[in-house]
Amino acid sequence: MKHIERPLSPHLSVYKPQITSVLSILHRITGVFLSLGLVVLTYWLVSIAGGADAYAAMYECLNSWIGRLAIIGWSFAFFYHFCNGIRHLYWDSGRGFEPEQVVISGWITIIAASVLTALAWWCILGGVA
Amino acid sequence: MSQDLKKSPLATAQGLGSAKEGVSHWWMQRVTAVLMIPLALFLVYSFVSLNNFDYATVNAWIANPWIAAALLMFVVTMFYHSELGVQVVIEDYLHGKTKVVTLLLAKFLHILLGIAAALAILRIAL
Repeated sequence: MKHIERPLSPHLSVYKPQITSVLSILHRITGVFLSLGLVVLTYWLVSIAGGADAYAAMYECLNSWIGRLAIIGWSFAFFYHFCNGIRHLYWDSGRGFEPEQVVISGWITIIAASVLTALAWWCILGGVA
Repeated sequence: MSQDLKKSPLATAQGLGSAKEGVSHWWMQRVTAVLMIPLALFLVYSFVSLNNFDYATVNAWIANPWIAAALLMFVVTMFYHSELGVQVVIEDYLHGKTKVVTLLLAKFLHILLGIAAALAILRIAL
């Protein structure tokens, strides 16, 4: 059967981004990004198990500017996915579906994720935990 | 062998039509998520509280039996949760043979890396 090219309605080119759709796709994007991060996490764990020399080699690799950037990215992705995940569980209980509630919980997610990320880094970089 | 009168044998072979059961996937995604909440909070708090991140400190942290247990449970649960999520993403965007191969690859990598991570934790802690 010959594949016939049929026209599609526009979507991303015409639909205004909203907190609902943006946070939803961000949950997927952070999820996939975190899944990729599992490779680095495994590398980190295997390096520790490998002893001081293996650890030093890994540290030098991850302490590069791109390594640092990636780890900061992963930390925000983690806290965002965590907070939005809880928001999903809240929806699963049947609550919070009114449009105003969705917007409010959305903003809470963004703020909580940002605060947790900042807090975690403040502790890592020397602040008191 | 399903004898669905409305589905041709080719359609059955190609896996077309309803999968009929996806609830277990949905439920396990939630179960793994809920299990990870307290583990993540505990481990993140414990980790960021470390005074420094040199080899001796990090190694000793993981070697602690409580940390090792929590970390092992967290890592295994996370790899499972990740595989479920990645599976859904692949199913959404890929189709046909590409989809099948990619699904297998994703499962393979998750299992292999998951075992490697678990072994590393055990090696440090035991």
